[in-house]
Amino acid sequence: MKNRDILERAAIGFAVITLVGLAWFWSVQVGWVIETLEMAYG
Amino acid sequence: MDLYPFFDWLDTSLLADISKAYGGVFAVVQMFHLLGLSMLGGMVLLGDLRLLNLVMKDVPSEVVIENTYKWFNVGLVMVVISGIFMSSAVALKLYYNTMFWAKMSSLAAGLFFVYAIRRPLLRFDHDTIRPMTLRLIAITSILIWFTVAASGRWIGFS
Repeated sequence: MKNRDILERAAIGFAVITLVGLAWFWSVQVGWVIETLEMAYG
Repeated sequence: MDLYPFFDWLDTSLLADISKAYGGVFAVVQMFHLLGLSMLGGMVLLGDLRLLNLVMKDVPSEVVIENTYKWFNVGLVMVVISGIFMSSAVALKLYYNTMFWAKMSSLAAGLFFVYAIRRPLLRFDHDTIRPMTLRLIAITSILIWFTVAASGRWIGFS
């Protein structure tokens, strides 16, 4: 397998893992903000 | 690996003495931190929006990407050096701050992505790389660096 193909696969793998991780991270943060706003304003 | 000894040392270092005692020095360093961040973010946006074919369509993407490397590196050095100085003022507080570690984790991920995957891959002719991969690289890059900046800002509110 060519070096370029290996890098391309690595890029896709890294991107998928990162995007899933970031989606989880920001959903937790936004959930925390909503919870805080609910506590403050009911 | 426990990094507490490092943060404990940083909290009592000469850097910490300066950053705690001289508000003016801290403000100037913070200005350089933001300048470095905007330079780094600008280069990321420029390169990634070109990969998404949204800006500078009349310039080959290889040329645009190649020209962002130098100023990305300059911005990164500015951010890291000024960031260490700013951290020294509240080192132990940062050690116990979740958002600080979120920022450091995303920074580590971003640096690995840039230097181990993105740059080596983009050295090849972009026409030989699948368009879907180029778009995925651009979106991932933008989101990682957005997270670095946003979680950094979030430290102040957590």
